Amino acid sequence: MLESIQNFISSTGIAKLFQGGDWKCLVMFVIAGVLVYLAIAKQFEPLLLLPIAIGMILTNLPGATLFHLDFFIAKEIDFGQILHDGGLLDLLYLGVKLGIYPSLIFIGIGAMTDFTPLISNPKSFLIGAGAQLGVFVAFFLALASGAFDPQEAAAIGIIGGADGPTAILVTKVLAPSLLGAIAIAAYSYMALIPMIQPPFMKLFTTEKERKIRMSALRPVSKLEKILFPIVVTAVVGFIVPDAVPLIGCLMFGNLLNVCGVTDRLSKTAQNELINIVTIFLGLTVGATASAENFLKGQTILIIVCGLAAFMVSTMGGLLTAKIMNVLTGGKINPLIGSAGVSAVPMAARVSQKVGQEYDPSNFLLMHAMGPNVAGVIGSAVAAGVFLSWNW
Amino acid sequence: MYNAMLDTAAMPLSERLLYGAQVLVIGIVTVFVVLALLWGAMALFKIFFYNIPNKKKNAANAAVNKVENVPAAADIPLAAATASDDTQLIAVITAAIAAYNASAGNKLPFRVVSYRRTAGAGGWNSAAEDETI
Repeated sequence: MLESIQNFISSTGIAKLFQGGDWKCLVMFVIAGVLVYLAIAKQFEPLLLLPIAIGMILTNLPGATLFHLDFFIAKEIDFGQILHDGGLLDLLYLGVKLGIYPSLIFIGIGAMTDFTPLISNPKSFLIGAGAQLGVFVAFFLALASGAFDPQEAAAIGIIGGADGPTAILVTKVLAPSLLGAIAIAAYSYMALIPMIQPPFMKLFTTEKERKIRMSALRPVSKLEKILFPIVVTAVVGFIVPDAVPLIGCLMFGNLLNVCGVTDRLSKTAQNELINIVTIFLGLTVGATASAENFLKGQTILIIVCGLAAFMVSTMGGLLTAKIMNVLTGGKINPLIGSAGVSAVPMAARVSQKVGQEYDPSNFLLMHAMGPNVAGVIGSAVAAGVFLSWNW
Repeated sequence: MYNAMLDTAAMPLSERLLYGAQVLVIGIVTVFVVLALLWGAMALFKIFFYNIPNKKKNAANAAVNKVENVPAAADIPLAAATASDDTQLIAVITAAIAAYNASAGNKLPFRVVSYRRTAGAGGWNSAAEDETI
């Protein structure tokens, strides 16, 4: 009887909390609590931060062992073992490991995205490219630190793409053990864009530049909208085939939306599909952030490099837009450059907001949406470069 | 270019930086090249699907205008101009669009110089009533 009680007590989470360093899970609960607070009270990326936080709590419950990261880190994954010994989170994580969720989310994003401003003003593509500078600079910094191998540095660099699914796809291939830290850093910084970007926007532009009014965008025909996703997929696919899982799905989703004959599919992609996948993705990505995996010096470096990536990407976009403003004779407001960091539509909204601080009747939102969606394509291409690199 | 399974931890700092710089330059150049190609493709879109059709349309319109004997504005009966309650609404919308376009820097062949409130139910009110009924 006494032995049974002792066995029961030793099997409780409270007992395990004080065995073998499991106290670290308390730190993870605090971090998860901060994410829950940011998601609910501050409404920072709640759709992702909340599932990620709950995934973190579930995976760090002492003795629960809901998720087994060791099943997935091995070079040769034993799918039989996962099916036999794995639980719900292990099975759901297969969607991340096999690269299914990021691609499905990109179908939904494509269906929700209006590429008209980009088609109308294709110069925005260059701003989107300039805003990928942070990806490669962060890679360089992470590699130079000596704390990461090249694959890990690449996964850290892609935080600068300001695109969660892209970061997750690259990390699960190149550095699966860092997935939790990188995903959390990426989504947290995306949520903090309204705080990170404005100081750089003001630093790199003059007041006169911030007041520039851009001319109205030309109308775009339905035929152009239909051809756009096909042409983008073909061009990117032929040059960077590794970017096709992302670009192909993004453009497929967009085609569903613009072709006009698949409204039901488009609505499903925009709502049910992306919502269900977001739940699975958030929970399982959060589950990878176990105490032993997350609480280490590397995580702090990832957070620092991620912040550097965001800053440099913002600067890259702003400087590219400034150069284009000079080349076009003052027709481009450089504030739209910061929107090139992807993070749709938050970054474009920031451009609009900062622009209106200096001229309340200036509407930059539509102009900023061009670089913004170009940034999505640019970060997917950057991801393709890393994935195709001969490491 | 370095090969697979590169052991950067064992590399001296200078070599590691060189390798990082190599990836940085090739990476950003690749992104620029791909997106510049897309820019080029979209520029072709503009030529084939916007400029050329617009030119054809304008040419056709010019030809029609030459042939047609357009009545002078004074010759149009007042009843025709006021046949529909929508005319006022159209005028309001046109003025709003013209004002927006002018503020956006476009040079239009006309501009809004004044506006005034009319007596009775306005076009917007009529439209709202029609919609409700």
